Amino acid sequence: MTLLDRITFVIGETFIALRRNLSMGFAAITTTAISLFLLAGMFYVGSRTAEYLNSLPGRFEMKVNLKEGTSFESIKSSATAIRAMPGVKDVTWLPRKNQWEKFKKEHPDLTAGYGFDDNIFPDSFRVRLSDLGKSDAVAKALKALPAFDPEGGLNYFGEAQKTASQWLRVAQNLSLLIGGLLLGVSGILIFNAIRMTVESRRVEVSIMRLVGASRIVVSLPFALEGLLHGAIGGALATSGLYAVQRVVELRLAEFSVDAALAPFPVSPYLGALCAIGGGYGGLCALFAMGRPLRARSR
Amino acid sequence: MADLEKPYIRFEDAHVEYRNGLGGLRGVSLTFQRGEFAFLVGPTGAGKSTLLKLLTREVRLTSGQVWLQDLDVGKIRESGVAKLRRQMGIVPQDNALLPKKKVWENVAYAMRAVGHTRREVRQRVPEILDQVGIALRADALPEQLSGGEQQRVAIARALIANPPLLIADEPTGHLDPETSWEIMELLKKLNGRGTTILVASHDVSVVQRMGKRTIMMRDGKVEGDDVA
Repeated sequence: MTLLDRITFVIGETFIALRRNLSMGFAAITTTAISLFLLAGMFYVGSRTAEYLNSLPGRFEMKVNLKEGTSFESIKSSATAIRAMPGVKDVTWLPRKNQWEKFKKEHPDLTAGYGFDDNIFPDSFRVRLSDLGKSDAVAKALKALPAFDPEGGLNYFGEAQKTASQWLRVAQNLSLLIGGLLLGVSGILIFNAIRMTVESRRVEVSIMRLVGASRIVVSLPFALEGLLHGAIGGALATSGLYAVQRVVELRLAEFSVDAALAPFPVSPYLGALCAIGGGYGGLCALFAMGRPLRARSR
Repeated sequence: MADLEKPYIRFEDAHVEYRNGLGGLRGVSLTFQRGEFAFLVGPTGAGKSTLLKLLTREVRLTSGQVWLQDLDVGKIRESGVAKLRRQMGIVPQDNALLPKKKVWENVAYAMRAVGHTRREVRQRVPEILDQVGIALRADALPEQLSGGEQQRVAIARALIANPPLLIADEPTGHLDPETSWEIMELLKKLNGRGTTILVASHDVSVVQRMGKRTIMMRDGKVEGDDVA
């Protein structure tokens, strides 16, 4: 019963503190929300884009043609060497015979009357990458293989892949920068809001000190205020992300685009952003109240 | 028998130096017995408030010792200060009442802050207000009270833990002589119930009229100790 009474007292004090500086609190909450929206939004877009790129077989693939007359032993050793290259996910040997038969099956009109000796395909490898960023290094290593055909022996979407990942990286870095700056600003706003609350509640604080209230009872309402600022900001950021995804879905539906988006994971994002925002707000509050409360205890 | 002779409060060569060099203490040694009523008098900057604040640990010693029973007050950790203050009642110089809370709420707030339940508050607040003679103004706001009534509320708040020691810093500082006397009578009544009372005051006429132990201070030193 005593514990419950203490909790209700501290919570009551927290809400009194929140009401004291409504406009400052509002500024702190909205800035936290915008910064977390940007940071989490970019993380979300980045992870979804990476997922999408991974799901597209051709985007991460390279086709390597080998010299005519390459022996089976040489093919085997080349495959082993490719598998050991950093950034390579897997390697598949495409025998020239199989490629020709497949082509003939797919294009009977073009290949009518041609026999095996007319096979235009060389022995090849299909190399799948695990990391787009390493495509250039892999290409260089492939070209150094003894069995590699120097005459157009490598086909891949190198430039397109590079551009896509570069743009994604630029967007991510920009969001990280703006989001980080805004997070810093929101930290300052939370800090100032708590400082102002401590100032506006100095009579209450001095009374609590005089009658011997414990340090936790005196400082917890201020820490909770900062935590609430951050957590509400996190919740707003999640709502914003959810709203943006819904808008995008509706626009896609409007244009009859057949590209259903995966549902936005509300619960994990809500939990994570509230926890991050709350922790950050609480930390800012601890910094803000430390000095004035220490000074007032003497 | 030995316990009765042992001082309740003991200042041993207490020195306090403020950073600005004003109004500290310069080697004060004093003892107070349990149940005593004593006044600290002297001009502004004599060290009266500093001496009281050493006991409440609002000020720290530069050197010397302060004992409350067997407790070395100067050596208490910051985390233990709250517990120390729960053993005493403190009436500050400025009353420090919450202007938007009623009389009973001011007392209740202090009780809730130190962990009393709502039930305890409901039971104890009327008793305390009655004890200091302000029960009839329980629903008034501080601004609706006279200076003397406000002081009674501050005293009521200091009594929430039924403390054995009451420390009052200039409790009659801005009161007329008649109201000052009423406050002193109230303190005397509390002293009569066994509470040790230390009062810092520069109201010499009221102090003389009380006929209690009076310690004269000047420039951070004890100039005289007139035991009643």
